Amino acid sequence: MYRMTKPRILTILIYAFTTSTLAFIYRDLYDLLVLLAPTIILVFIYARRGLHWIIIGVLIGLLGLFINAIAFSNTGETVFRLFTIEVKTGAVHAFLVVSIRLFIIAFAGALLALTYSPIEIYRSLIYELKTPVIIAFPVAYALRILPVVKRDYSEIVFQRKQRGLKTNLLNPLDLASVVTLLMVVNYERAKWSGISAELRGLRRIKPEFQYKPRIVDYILLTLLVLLVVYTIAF
Amino acid sequence: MGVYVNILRAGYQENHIVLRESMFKAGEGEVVLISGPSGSGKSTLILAITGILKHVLGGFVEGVVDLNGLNPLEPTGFEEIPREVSVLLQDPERQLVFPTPLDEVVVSLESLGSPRSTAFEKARGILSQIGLGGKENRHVEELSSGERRRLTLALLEIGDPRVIILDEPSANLDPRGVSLIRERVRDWKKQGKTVIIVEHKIQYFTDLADTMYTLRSRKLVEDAVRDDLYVNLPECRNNPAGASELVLELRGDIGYRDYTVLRDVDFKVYRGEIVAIIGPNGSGKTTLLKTIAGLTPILNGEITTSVKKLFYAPQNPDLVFVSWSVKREVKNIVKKTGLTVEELVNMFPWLSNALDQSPFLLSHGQRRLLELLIALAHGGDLLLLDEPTTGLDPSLYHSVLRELKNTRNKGRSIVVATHDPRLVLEVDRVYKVENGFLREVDKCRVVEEMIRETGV
Repeated sequence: MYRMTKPRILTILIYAFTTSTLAFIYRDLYDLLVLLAPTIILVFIYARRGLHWIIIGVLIGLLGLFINAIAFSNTGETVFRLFTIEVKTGAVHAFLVVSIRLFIIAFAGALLALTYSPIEIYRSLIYELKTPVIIAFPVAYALRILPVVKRDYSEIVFQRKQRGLKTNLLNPLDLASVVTLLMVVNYERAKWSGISAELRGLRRIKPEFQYKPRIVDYILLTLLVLLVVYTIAF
Repeated sequence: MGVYVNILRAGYQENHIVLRESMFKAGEGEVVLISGPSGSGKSTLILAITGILKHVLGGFVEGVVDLNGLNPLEPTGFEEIPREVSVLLQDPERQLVFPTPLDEVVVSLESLGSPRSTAFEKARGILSQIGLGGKENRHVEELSSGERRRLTLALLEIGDPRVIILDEPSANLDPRGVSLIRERVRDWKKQGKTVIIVEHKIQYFTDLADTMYTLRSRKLVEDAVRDDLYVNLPECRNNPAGASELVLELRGDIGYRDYTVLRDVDFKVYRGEIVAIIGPNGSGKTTLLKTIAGLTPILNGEITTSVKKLFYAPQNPDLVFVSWSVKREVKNIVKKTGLTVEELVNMFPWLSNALDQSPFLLSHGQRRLLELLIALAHGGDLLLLDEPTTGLDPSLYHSVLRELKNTRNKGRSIVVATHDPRLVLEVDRVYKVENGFLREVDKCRVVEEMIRETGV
């Protein structure tokens, strides 16, 4: 199957950051719709896998937004009646503005999180974005030990059962003792991994900034500039 | 150039000396073998001579250290250590700090000065040489333990270091793994590298060692190089099969949702016997123990058992602990099992000296011993022990063996997953995992095979 060339992570970072910031600034419905439209298209091109979870999350959030709009902005003429509540133009407008804002931010985040694997993101941190080793290494290490921590967790719970201790994780004390042990075990693991990293000379790596845009990056950045100019000018 | 070490005092805190008056030297192409009881400071010695103790862990080291012309006790020397020295840690798994093999190798190459433009290409070449071509971007946890071991060895050799330090290289390794390490040590010797090996099972390396030292009372003492390969091992005898009650039977396939580890398993345990499961790293021994324990569900088939209570002791002893001090662990055992402190101390007299310590700060061998104590106390009718003898010095090993035999004599059953031929020699029956199948094998023959496979 043909796959679209992915933009560089920095390009998506710039796009997501700019659109999210503008979504906070703009109050006009039309401006927000102009921002939302290309973001939705990009999400459908690059970040379809797992998108349904984001949409479900946003839809759940919409219910809260609607209640909020009724409570704080229900002014103007009545648009429709919901049971005994008269929903007025102010509430509808506020609901639409905040909902679109939420969709833009969620989709911009999804664009970054769903287009790239965690490994691609941390590689970009190390190899492209000149992130100091002290920041990039913990990200890489977290990805390394995530499956190990998951395995440790199930073993710790199992061992506690074997030793006749409670494992009711809804009980804060039981949960705390399991999580504390998990942290101790992984602190020890992290300590030795840190020693290994030192012995392998990780600190000698010089971070570099290597942003090499491709055609798709130029297209995206141009689109972003057009969006900003259009919404400011009109 | 080689290595010259003369440590006057070293430790983690100024008022607590872990090493003193320890001196050794080794020329190019020489191998130094260092042994010593569990918790005697062997790993600390490695941390001291590489500068980690002083510069990373905030400890102190007084004396002289010269590793191929570098002084790691000075900040400038410590910075240069990765260029001249490679270290294999006690748990090689912790040596792998990046999510994929490609990142591991690329970062190692870069840290040694390879430009990024060529590092990726070089890394792919190295991974292809060690049989990991095509798996460059897989998560490290998805590799078999054999593949991970090959990766750690490859990392060790990147940059052609002049000094190589190995901390318990045989721990958790199958005989073929030991043989692989021995081959590499022999090659390094020929290449004129200086090799420092810290090891409990010294017999694996005595024939390769030029000098041998033992850590006694925090001091390094030179020993004569001994060639005592298994000289004290008892003669192997296949125990006659006696009529006994079947306590556990597992028939079927075991593994995980997405893949089968062992097929057509037919595994039986009788009352009052010790059964060993042997086989290469990553072959499915631990999965079998976890399936019996109920931690991993059986894929197809069934487990029938008459035991009311069993205990599974995993490879990582830390997962079993529930308290912050050994004393509280002991109290907990007493509370839950009804055994007395005296009975527990009688099992492992070492315990009385460790009551005030945190279980998490004990040496690996001591943590293993505490885990075994917990398993023996809680164990019920069936104990499942995963690699119970790793990290144990000879004295601790013998106390563990004695307790395992006592437990068997009380009519309880034990299943051990092990690579240790000394332990296999003492068990009643042996199952071997090979190519995805488990079969019962002749004990004496496999012990011979295991010793032969190490290449000693």
